[in-house]
Amino acid sequence: MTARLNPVLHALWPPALLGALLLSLWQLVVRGFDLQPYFLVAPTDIWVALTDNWSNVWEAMQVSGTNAAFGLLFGTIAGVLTSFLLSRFRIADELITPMSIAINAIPAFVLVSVFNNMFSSTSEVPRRLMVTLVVFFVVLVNVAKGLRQVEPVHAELMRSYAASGWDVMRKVRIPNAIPFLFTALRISAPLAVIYAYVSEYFGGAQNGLGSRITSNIANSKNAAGWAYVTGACLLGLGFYLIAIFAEAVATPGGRNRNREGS
Amino acid sequence: MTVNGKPAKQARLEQDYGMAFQQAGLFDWRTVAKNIELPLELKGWDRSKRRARASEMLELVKLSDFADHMPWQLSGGMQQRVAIARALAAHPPILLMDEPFGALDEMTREHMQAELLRICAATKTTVIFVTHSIPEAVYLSTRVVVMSPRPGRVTAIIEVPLGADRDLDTRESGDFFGKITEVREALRGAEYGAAGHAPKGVDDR
Repeated sequence: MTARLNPVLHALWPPALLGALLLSLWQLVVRGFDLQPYFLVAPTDIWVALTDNWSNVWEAMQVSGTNAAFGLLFGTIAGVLTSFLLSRFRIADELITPMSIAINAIPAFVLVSVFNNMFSSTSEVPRRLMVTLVVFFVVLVNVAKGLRQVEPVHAELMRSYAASGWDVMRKVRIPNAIPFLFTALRISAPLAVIYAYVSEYFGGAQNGLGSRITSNIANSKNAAGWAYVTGACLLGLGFYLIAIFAEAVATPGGRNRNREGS
Repeated sequence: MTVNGKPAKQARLEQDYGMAFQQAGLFDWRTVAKNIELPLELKGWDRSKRRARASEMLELVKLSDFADHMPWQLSGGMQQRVAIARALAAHPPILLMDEPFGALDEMTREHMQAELLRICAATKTTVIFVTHSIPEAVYLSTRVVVMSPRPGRVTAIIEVPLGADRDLDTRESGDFFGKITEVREALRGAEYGAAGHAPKGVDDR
């Protein structure tokens, strides 16, 4: 276990050191030039605001985090199922792929406004739908690529075994797509959190991190606003770490180390 | 064209032959033993029977210690041996090999050729082996079929009566070099024959 922990520590200390340096520099600049809180808040003040308001920040983190988690879950399931459909039926590929590109081209906030109109103003459904959509496309594109990009020699081999389409799917395509799925999760986990925040700017209940940040800054409570920003960073980092951890658990020993999905 | 008296498609569907390619084509996500079990899984064999056959095949290619390794932990020659074990796992009467040693270095290649002869003798498998190397063709074969480039036609069939027990001395014997020369000249003839119809660089397909 220590043999596996040491490289983690080894990889961790340079960015940790850089972070500490940047924070010190930030503190020095604010104090040294006597910058006012409405312009830039010192890290120490943010820390005080964060510890003072921790229960509120934590509550907002749970609201946004739940929205992001729902979206991530449903988007991943829908994306995986659709990509199976696409790789199995050519006609589905021809129907759905152009449509998904078209939908993807619509700016996110337009859709949130539309969803807000469809559901009641206190509902979290529009936000979760928004996150689901974003995750769905990332997962769909990546997993479909993994299902399709089978090495020619493997395809030939399965043909020489007289394997059925279902056999090829089970034994070759799905295992081949698994690293692509985790790449998609690594991309979409932070995206889910970001879209959960952004979707809070378009009305609805003012209970998530995105809306708390705007309302605090608007009321000149800048230190509190920054405290919520810190909470937002922590949440995004948490989602990313979960995605990496899931990958490490599902593919132990650096399986597929030579063939990473892009 | 018939394979063992059946049409080619039926022979494929009935798994009358195993295949090995230039690339080993092992599956990265399966252990060595699981790679060998794949054709057996597709045939619906149960687990214990598959296990037994996989370890038997691993013994045959002398990789018993690597059953639980992942393919990328093996060298190129070892991977190719796993591919041969996989191709032979279902005990097909015929093994088709398409330049399986093309990507290996010379020493590994000679070693693999000796291994292949040993494996075929042990399993009584008939091998159809495609290669661009004349010494390889002569060393491995009882019969060499020379084909012309574009269009691919059989231009010569040369018997190689070097006996069943071939070893390092075979490679240095006069008969061996004689056969190499014979195959080379047949190959030259095939090339000039094709060039007679079309000048170099012109494709008349």
